[in-house]
Amino acid sequence: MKTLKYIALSLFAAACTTACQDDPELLTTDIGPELTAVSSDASALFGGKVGFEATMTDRYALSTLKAQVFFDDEMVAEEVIRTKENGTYSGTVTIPFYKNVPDGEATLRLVGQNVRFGLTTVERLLNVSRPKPDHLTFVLDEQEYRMEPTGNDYEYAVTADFPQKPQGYISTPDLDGLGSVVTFGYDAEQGGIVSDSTEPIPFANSNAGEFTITFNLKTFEGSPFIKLLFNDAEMTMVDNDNYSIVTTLTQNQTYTLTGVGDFADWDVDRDYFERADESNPETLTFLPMTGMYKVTANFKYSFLRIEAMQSATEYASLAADGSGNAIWTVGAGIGKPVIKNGDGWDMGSTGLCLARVADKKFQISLVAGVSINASSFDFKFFWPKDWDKGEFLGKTDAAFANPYGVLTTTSDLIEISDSGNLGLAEGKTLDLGGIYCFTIDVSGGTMAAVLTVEKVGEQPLPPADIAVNGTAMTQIDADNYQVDLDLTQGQTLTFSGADAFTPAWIDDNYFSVSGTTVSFIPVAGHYRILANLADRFIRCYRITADGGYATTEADGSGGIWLMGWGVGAPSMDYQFGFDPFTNIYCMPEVEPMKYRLTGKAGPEKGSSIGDYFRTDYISMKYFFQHGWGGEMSNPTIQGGLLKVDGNLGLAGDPLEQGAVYELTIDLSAGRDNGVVSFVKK
Amino acid sequence: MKFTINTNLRLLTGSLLLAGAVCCSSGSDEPNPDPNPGPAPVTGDVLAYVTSANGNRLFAEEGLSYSKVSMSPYRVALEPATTYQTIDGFGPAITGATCYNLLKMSQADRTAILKKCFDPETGAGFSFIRVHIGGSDFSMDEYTCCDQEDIEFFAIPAVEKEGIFPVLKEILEINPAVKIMGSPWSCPKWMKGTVANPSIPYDSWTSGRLNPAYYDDYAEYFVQWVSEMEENGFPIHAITMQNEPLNHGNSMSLYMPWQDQLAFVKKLGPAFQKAGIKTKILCYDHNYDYDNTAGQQSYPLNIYADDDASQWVDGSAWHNYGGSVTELDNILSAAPDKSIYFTEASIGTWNYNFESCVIDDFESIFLGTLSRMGKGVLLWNLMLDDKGAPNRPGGCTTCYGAIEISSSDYKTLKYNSHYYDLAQCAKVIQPGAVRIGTSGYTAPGLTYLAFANPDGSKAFVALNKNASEQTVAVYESADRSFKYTIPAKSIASFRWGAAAEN
Repeated sequence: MKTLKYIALSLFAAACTTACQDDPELLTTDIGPELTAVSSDASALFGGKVGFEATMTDRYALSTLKAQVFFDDEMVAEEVIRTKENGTYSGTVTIPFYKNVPDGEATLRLVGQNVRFGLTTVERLLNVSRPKPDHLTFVLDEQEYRMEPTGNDYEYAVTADFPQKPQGYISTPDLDGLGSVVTFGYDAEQGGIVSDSTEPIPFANSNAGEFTITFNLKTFEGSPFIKLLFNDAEMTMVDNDNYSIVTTLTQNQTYTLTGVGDFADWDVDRDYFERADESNPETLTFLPMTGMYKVTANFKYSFLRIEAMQSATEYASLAADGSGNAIWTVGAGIGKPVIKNGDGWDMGSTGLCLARVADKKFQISLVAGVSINASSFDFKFFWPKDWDKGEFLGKTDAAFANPYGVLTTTSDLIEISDSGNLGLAEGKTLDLGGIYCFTIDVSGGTMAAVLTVEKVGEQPLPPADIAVNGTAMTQIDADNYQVDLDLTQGQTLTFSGADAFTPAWIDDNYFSVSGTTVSFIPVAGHYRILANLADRFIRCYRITADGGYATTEADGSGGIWLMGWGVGAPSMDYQFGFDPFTNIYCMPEVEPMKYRLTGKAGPEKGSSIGDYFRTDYISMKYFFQHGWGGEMSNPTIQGGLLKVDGNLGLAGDPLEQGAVYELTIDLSAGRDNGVVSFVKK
Repeated sequence: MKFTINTNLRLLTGSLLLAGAVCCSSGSDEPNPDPNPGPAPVTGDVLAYVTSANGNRLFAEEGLSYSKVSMSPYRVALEPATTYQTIDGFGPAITGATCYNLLKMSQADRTAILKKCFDPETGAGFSFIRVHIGGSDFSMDEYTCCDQEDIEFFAIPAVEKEGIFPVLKEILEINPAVKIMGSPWSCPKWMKGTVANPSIPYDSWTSGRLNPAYYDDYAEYFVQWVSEMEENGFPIHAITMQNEPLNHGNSMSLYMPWQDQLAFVKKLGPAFQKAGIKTKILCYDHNYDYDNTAGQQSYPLNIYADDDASQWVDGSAWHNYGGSVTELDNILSAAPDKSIYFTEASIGTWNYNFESCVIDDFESIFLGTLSRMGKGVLLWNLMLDDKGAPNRPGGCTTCYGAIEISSSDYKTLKYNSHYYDLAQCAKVIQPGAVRIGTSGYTAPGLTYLAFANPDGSKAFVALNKNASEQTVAVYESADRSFKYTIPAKSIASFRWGAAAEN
């Protein structure tokens, strides 16, 4: 072998020197340094260190000493030491911690090399075994739990009071007294627990409380991962919150879902399942027509989502004659089991499947104030779970580029626009707590679909008895309450009722909070106070005597409205933007005809409550009404931080993160002669 | 200096000299190419076969020695105590068009290609074929075995006896273990009614529905076909009741929803039993997405739900022209005791790219169904010409065969991806093999399955979809282990430990 190396290197040298005559001469040798292994560990642990010491001398300058560990003929670890001078060198090389690899005889190879590529190799046997430390540590956030051996080979466990999803990582103690610690976390690509990771392992139990977490130091198997069984078939984990299964469901047949501790409290979607026996909440009767469905258990909303399927991976659809298994809906103001879980136009994440209750008949039941907004909504129907591939319009449209059908309604409660969007008819609202069944009949095909809307029952809404200064707030939907009051500057306000309701944010430009005392900041007027029990936010805006949105009078009094980017409340997660129906802001009038917004500067992502201005970008405007129409016209700018260029934007340097800034709009010279001041306080 | 140069050194020297020449672009004589020594018999403890997406290796055979696998991080241990399904085989469809092309070849060329495909020792060892019962969209005409009204007139027509039987005979002579599956594309027209009302006669090869009044006659039709095939030396392992029963549009077709197959099999099963026919009856034989047909989801499960029908049905057959192979999870979980077969996939102008097809089809069709208890894989035409012919009006005119033959000389052959996909399984997984468990190393992009062959040998089939090579160390026992590095985007198949070694 040495001869072969010598010849090869000689030829390499010859090739380079003859073909490239300007190249420098490459000096090589097949004679390596004198290498003596002074000592090396004869045994080691997976994850531990192997010590070695070797003496190297040579007539040529030395280059490196490498310590390599081989499992069979695979090099699994290497440590390289630069060796400038003859002498004794020592070091350690760390053995990797693989799963399932048995204990065995590995090879420690020491390779000395000089600058002329001469190599000398010394090999030592190395017995490597899997450690069995006296404990492991489960690390969950800031807390550590000691995992003890269970008695089963390499298995460790800890029983404690855990949250339902105790997603942490596992660590060994120092395995060999040399600081060798191995961690075990989750690798989504590998789909399991791996070594040398601290990525949270998605442990999950059926419910929070006392339970046991286990981990096997050989197989890397751990528990618990929720095992949900739908009629004895295991549901597949989709992500941390969702488990699903695609299966055939038969009308009027009973099914059981086991593995969810609080399943009795889950919403199982009244369109699809009913609990015939409340004493046996895991048993469900399937109501729609027989077919293939995806059943998804959603832990975030404690909800069963059911969707009709064409196959294991494709959602069901309709044919032009109305045959098929699904109609889908998406839009604003509806969601199951609550509006919040569906409010929007993203078909993939928020689209809802109507239940096929009879041949060519589909329904969805929504509860006003819970799963549909009682006073405002905007949604439409589709037949594939996709945009642009089949949607219901309100009338025929020869110019419409995509496949479409036509949906009409006999309901006087609902109006369908030409584009097929559903909204409340003029002057109509839904009864809070009313259960409304929307049924689409496509017996005449997709071009002659008919919608009926029927109130089929009532459901008590979650009670909340909130009052401001003794005046009860009116419930708008499941989460939102409001009250209209005449308020004066400096007036003390008392929020009462709803024991569980402690505000996470109360608009501090309207309300000054000191201990338990809340004082009103703006000038006297008619105001609407809004409380959201889900977000725990309290907002306020000015209204007219008849309850409409306040407008700016020509003299600058009344109310002005702020929209734009880089400005938002209660944080940058709630930027006002330029859509008045999402997050427009009524600036409080703190002195007659002077409007003010004070808050900190924060980043766009990861901002905190109170960060009302973005440090690096602002583009905003004030308006004379709630929405587009009359607006600021080239106001005077003071303070040097803002400039006006159509919109109000930062003039130069970014704002200082965490510093407090005050935006004042002074309309005392009339609404068209505004003076805008923006200063750091 | 004088020394003997060995092969490795000669290659090294040549490479280095070439490197030097390229380095300065100064021109140099190319090294003399190695004179072709001719194929030497490959020997080794383990026979490996590799096909790469880039075409560098095409069913390339390699002999490996057993090597130590003890602590390898790539160790995959076989677990023969864990057993799954028994394999029936792998192969193509022997259609009228395939036989037409084969019979246009010279006898010597035809024998050579059939041996290359079917001979388990010298060839790829294809072990399973599918034939059409009557005509199909790749037969030489539209016909059935009973075109004159009355089942008394049943007879396999001359177009098959002269155009297909000789090829079947030659295949079975080469490999007597080859199993045959039959599928009708249409019942006789006189048995057809309209889709809306099958009692109203419907005189068309395309679409229509089996008239219930002829269920008994059609059952007898199958009995006669199986019997006559067997009389001619072609034992029929299985039939499907209808090719693509939800496809109305093929040149020869019959709409046969699950309700019809459920009712018909109650006639067919007893007819087979009465005639002493053991041929398996399979239902469905169509796409994973049920062709988006309302009310036809979970097609086979509807039949299995009826005990009277289910008792006669061995399992279901599947095509991949729509939907995903994961649909089989649904079927399997609901009916774990019923068999699953993959019975048709084609390549053609609409999808063909060797690099992607050879890998993706192997993953979804082969590993995808075998890992879901699939007992065998059948692909579409073994051989079409360079024009996708012969084919039928209204049928597929853009299909490619697993092998393409030049229509100008009926001699020049081109091997498409389906040939290599089939070969990679058929060569190492014998009929009667049992899939066994594995444990150990896993990696993204690496998929593998292991089998215990009836002769005592073991088979290991792996797919590396990654853009880099991937090592596996297969451990059966301390003295039967080996390591192999699978090239990027490649299929690797291994067989070792034949009975003599046990």
